[in-house]
Amino acid sequence: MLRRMLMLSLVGAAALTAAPPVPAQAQQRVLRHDEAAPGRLDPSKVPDYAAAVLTMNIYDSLVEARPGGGVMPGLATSWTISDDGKQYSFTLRPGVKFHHGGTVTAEDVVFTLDRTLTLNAGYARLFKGVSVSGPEPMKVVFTLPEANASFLASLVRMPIVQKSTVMGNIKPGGPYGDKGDYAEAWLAANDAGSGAYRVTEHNPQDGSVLVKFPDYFQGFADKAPDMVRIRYGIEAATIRTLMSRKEFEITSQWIPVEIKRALAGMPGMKLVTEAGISYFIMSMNTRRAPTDDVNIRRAIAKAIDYDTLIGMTAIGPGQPGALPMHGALPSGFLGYDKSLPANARDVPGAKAAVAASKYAGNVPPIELSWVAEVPLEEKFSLLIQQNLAEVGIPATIVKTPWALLTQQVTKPETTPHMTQRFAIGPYPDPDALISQNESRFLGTTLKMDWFADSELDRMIPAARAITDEAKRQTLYIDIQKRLLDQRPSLVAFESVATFAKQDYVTAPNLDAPGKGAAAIGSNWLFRTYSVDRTQ
Amino acid sequence: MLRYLCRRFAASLLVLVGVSLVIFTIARVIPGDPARIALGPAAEESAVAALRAQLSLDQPFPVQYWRFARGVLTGDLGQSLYSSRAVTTDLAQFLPATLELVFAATLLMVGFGVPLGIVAAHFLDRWPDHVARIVSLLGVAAPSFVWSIIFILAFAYALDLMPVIGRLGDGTVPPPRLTGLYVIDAIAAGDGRAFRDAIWHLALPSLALALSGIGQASRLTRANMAQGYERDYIGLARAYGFTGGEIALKYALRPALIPTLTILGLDFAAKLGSAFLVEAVFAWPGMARYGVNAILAKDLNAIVGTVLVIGVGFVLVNLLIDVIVALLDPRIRARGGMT
Repeated sequence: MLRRMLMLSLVGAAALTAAPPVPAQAQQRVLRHDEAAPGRLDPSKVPDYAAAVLTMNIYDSLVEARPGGGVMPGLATSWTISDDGKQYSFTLRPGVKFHHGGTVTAEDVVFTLDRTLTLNAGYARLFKGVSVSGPEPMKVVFTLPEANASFLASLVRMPIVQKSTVMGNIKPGGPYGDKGDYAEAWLAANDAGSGAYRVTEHNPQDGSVLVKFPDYFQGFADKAPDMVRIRYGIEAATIRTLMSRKEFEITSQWIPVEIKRALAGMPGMKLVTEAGISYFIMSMNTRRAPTDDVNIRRAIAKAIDYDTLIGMTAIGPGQPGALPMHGALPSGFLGYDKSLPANARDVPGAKAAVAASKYAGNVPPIELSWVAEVPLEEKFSLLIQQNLAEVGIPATIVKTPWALLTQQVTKPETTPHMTQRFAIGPYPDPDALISQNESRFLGTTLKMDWFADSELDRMIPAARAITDEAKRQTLYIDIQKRLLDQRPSLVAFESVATFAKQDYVTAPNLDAPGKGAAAIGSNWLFRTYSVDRTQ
Repeated sequence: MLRYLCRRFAASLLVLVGVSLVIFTIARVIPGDPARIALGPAAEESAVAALRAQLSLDQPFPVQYWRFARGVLTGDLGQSLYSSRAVTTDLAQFLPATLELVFAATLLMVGFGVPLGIVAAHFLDRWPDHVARIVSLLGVAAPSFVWSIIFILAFAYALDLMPVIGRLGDGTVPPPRLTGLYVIDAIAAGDGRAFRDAIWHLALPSLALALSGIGQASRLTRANMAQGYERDYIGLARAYGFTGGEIALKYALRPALIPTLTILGLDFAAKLGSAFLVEAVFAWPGMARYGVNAILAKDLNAIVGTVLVIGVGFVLVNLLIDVIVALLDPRIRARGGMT
């Protein structure tokens, strides 16, 4: 009996562990990629990188981010801007097909703006007060409450949904009156776009499967992937294994530096980058002692060892994870000016600034907060703590989960003295990042410095209102000079996002550093990629 | 028997109400504004306030709980801010994956752990016992996520034998949904390829999840059987000339199984929640991972829904174990009024 039971156990175990492997279907060109969970699909709720990658491939917008900067025609073939800068008229491209049939018309554009404003999530704030009409089936006219030169670029963040498909999938009884749930539930798992890929499977936690939409109006690269499989929230060690087995084509930027380094050393793999659109910023609470004193803030800016800080992000020799910062705009944006002073360590200058402050000789300790979900920030904090100690500013390091930080920053008295975050430009216009210095963002994680400056509140809208690029360039440089002088925050470095990819994959905007588009997700147009496993 | 079951069921309901109250409170005490986190830093305060109102967060706590309880009674756990879908829809999608993983792990725990314990007790203080002790200690010593990574490195990275992620290979079409458990659904559909692929993908994560339980089951069974071997009735059985196997399975194992089963039952329910690290390493689209992500995103409805499901699983398994234990031990039956 005992023997029989043991045998049964062994047979059962063998059945579980010794089944033969099933070969993967490898007829199609497949591109496999990972992103941080969750993968949000609803284009009116896009707030993060994963969702931006999805929408850029599934939907189209009137204009697209142009590699190298600015915008280029998308669903719109041309546009005009009224003299007062308040009216934007677009001519739509004829014959652009939606995945569910039918073509893009003005009605869909009008509907999309209405849905975006009604849901009031994601990038809805960019279109607040904007109205739109469709005087002709292939013409739309946007009317803005005030002149706004960044409006054109912000349209990159308004993916057009098909009205008939969305309306056909609304669930009654939702929070939007006669629009029910405005198809929130349906669009969370399905698409209503016209983009190069359509969604065939979606699980916000597990992954998405996108397949080529053969009728796409812009066409595809010769060896563009037929299918793109995006997985969410995969562990770094697992990705490393998948990459080594060639079961994965390109990683996200979120895997640790050590894994990127290991992958870079493997045959048939390469690191590619995306630069010019993001930065690392440290905000200083201007309403708590001692960072309420501009001299202390200047001392902090001068005390930090930027070379070492940047070195911490490096993947390896010749593979920087960051670039020195000039001013407060990354290099991919209008207004970037290399002649603005770069961040540099100046210990005597920092000590002099401390001595000039009202806290000279008795600087109270500051809280140096780092986001618990970003371990690299702890290393930054340790370095900064040491740097500050050298100039007589005591600092304590506080680990803060992001959820807690969002609550802390709603009040100046609970906001830590120094907070850290990575920021990325959502659309290719300097206003996308510079506007975060306006006092309207006080109390949010976009503006944790509590610096309500009437001068900035005047300068930033003024720069936004002008359409002349040369004049805007000058104004944005002036704004950056003001920020450098008052130091409510410290843009420590320009981030270089690094991805590991197989050699048999070509990703044009990532393979050419500095040639990418300055908008989140815009360098991930899979239709421009090539997958050639015969290489 | 019916009276006993009713009493246990009533107690279970009370436990569930308590669990719901506790988790409902804790979810609201975790720092962070769920509406702000869901809408992002750029969202306007008016939008954040509207979402708070939609979630009833602007209402007093008792009102919030009453609305939640009313929803639960009608099968509505609210909407997830994390996935933008009904929590019940999410759970229906993610729970089967976790159940399949935990069922397979439990099978391994019973299939390996109990026989290992029997062998160890049977050969007490001899080499099979020592081997079983080492195997058990190894299983218990390292947490499941460490085993997950070791398995991936060994069987996928170095030997290139096993699949790394997911429930099925890219080329395998999932079987028609019946239970959501791919192995069972594949059998029901007569789909041999999906069945083999599902088993193949299940092997490493379930083994990683089971190892600590195998160790526990083995040590418990061994200890209790060893105690049993010292009892008079075992000596009597030997005197009657029963074989070693008969004594082990008929007389020593039965009482020894009671604590083992109780622990395995608790372990099964605990694994519903604690499988998330294994799920994360193997990219297993399960409920545990969903729950952890919900906590990080402070997705209140999803947190409460996930914990409630785990609570229900815990209560049901315990109820089942109580019944099995009562069936195994007539003294418990008698005390519990199960006659």
